[in-house]
Amino acid sequence: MASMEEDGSVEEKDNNNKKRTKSAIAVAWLTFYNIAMTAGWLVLAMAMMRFYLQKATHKGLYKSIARTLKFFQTVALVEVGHCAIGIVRTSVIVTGVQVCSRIFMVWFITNSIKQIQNEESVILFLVVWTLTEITRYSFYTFNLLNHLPYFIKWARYNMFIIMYPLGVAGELLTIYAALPFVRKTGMLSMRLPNKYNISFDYYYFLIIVMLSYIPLFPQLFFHMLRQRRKVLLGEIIVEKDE
Amino acid sequence: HYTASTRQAHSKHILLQLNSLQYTVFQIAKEFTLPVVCVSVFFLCLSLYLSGLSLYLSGLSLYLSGLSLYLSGLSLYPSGLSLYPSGLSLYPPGLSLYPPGLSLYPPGLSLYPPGLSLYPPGLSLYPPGLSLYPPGLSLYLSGLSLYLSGSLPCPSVSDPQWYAARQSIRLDPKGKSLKDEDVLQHLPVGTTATFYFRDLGAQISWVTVFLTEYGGPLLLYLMFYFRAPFIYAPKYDFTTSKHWVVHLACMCHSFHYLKRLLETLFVHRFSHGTMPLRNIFKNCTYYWGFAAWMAYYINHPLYTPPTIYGEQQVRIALIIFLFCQVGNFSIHIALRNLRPPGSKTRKIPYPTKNPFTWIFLLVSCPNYTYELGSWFGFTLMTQCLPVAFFTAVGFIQMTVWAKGKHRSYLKEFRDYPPLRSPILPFVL
Repeated sequence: MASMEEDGSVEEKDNNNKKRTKSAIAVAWLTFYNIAMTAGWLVLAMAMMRFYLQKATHKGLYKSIARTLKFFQTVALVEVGHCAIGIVRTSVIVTGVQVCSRIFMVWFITNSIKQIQNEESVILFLVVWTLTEITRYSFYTFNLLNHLPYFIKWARYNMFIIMYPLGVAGELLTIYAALPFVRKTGMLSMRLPNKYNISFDYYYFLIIVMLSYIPLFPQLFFHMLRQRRKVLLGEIIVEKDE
Repeated sequence: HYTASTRQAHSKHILLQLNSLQYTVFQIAKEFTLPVVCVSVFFLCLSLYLSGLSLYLSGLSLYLSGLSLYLSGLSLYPSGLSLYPSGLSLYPPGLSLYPPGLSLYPPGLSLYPPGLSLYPPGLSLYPPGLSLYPPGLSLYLSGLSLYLSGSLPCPSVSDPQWYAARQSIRLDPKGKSLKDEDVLQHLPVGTTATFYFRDLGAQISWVTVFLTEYGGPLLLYLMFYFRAPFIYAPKYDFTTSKHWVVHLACMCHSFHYLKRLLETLFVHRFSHGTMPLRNIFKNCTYYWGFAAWMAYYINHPLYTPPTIYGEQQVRIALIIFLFCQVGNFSIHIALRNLRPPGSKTRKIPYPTKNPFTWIFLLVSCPNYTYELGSWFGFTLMTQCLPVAFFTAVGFIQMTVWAKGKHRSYLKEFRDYPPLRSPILPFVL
C-alpha cells in the first residue's frame, strides 16, 4: 500500500476567542457553558470543604459528591463537540483524549470499584481537578468577556506546574489501589472461548493504562510549559516545522 | 559545473547562490550515505524486536529453560526440516521456511557462517522471564534488512551530514520542494538563482520500510501458528490446531504478506525514494502489533471456528479473499505498466484487457478497494473480532489516502472520468 507524505502537525491554540468571525450565538453559548461549569465545580469545591469541616474525615466524602462530580465531568464531553464544530480552536483529538481520560477515571474506576472510594489518593485528585477546572473555566469565561484579570491568567499558567503532577499521582495511586479488587472480581473482562474470538482482561488493561502515563504525561506537561512561555512570558517560540 | 559564490549556513535556511547553467537540481546534492542508513535500520529492528517482547506480563518461563528446546535439534516441519540443529547456525543456507521448494532468500546465501552459535548456552540477552521468540530471530531480521538495504545502490564515501534524500531545495522558503529532475534553465530564475535549503530529517528508503513492515507480520503469524513456546500454555507448545480454518487462515495470511513483499521488490515503482525515519516506527508498530493480536486469537487452542454459517461461510470468504488478492495484484501490475521504467510521468489509469481492472471505471484507487475486500474476506473466514478491528482501521486509513489521491487526480487532469469514486463505487 502506498502511503502519503507526512501529515501536517496540529497546533493547539489555547486562546479560544481568537476567531473574530465567531457568531454571537457561539459566543453566548460558550459564555453560558463556561459560567455554568465554573459554578458547578465551585459547588463541588464547597461540598467537599463542607463535608470535611463537618465530619473531619475524608471517608464518605466521595460518596457525598459522587453524583455532582459524575454530572459535571460527563457534561465536559460537550467540549469535544465545540472543537469538532470549530467554535473552539483546539484539536479534537487532544480535547477528546483529555475528556476521555477524566470520564474513564470517574466512571470506570471510582464509580465501578466501590472499595477504593475512601482512598486518600481519590481526595488528592479530586482536589486537584476541582482547583484546575475552576481556574480553567473562569479563564475561558473572562477571556470570552474580554476582561481577563491578570491573576486568573497567572493562576492558569502557573498552577498546573504543581497541580498536574499531583493529579497524575492521585490518579495512578487510585488505579493501583483498585487493581486487587479488579483481579478478584474479574469485572469487565471476557475470556475465551467465545464466538467472537476475542478476550479482554480489565486488570492488564489497567496496567497498560498506567504505563501509558509515562509517555503521555511529559508530552502534555511540556506542551503546557511551552504555552506558558508563549502567553505569560511573551516568548516567541518558533515551532519546528516539517 | 557551477560556482558557489557564497554559502551561509544557519539553523533553518541555507542560501545557495548559483549561476544558472544547464544543471539539474539533483546533481547539486550529494549521494546517499549507506552506513548511516544501515546502522540505524539495524538498531531500529533490534529495538523494535526488543520492545515487542514486553507484551506478555505473566506466566513466562525463564529464557534459559526454553533455550534447550532449540538446541536439542527439534524438528518443526513434517518434512523433517530442523530449524535449530544443536549448536549450529540458525539459518543454514537454502533454508526453506515454507512448503518445500519455496525459500525466502536465494539459496546459498548464508547470513550466519555455519557453526556459529548465536546464543551459547547460558547467555541470555533478555531480562529473565521476558523471552518470547526463538533466539536469533532478531538478528535474522536485522541481518535481513542489512542485506536488503545493502542491495540498494549507494557509494561508500565518508558521509556529509545532509545527504541528498534529506535535502529539500525550494525557490521559496514556504513553497513546494523542487523535484530531482528539475532543470535550472526551466525554473523561474534569472541570471542568478537563490535557493532555500530545508533539512527533512533522517530519511529511510521506502523499500526498506516496506520490507520490514511486511516481513514482521509474516514471521510473527507463523510463530503463533506453530505455537512457539511462551505464547500459550506450555502443554500447547508446537501443537497444531484441530480446525482446518486455522490452517487455511495461516496460508491466506502468509500468502498475502508474501505477495506484498514480492510486489515491493519487483512490481512497485516508487516515485519518492525515501520517507522520514520515524515512519518506520509508526508503521511497524501498526503492522506488527495488529498481526500479533490477530494471530494470537486465531491460533489459540480455544479458538472457535465460524459458527453463524459454518463451512459455507469459510468457503465464501475464501473465494472473496482470493478474488480480491488477484484483483489487487492486477491493479498493481496495471499501475506499474502506466509508467515506463525510470520516467516519472503521471497518467490516468484505465481499464485494460484484464477483467479485474475493469473496476477502474468506477473507482480511482481500486487497489485499496481490493485490499479492503481481502481483509473483509479474511474477517469472515476467521470470525475474529481483532481481525474486524484491523479491517476497520485499515479501511479508514485507506479511505483517507484514496480521497487524497482522487483529489490530486481531479486537480491534475482536466478530463478525469467523472463517474469514479475514491474507494467504494458510488458510495465513498
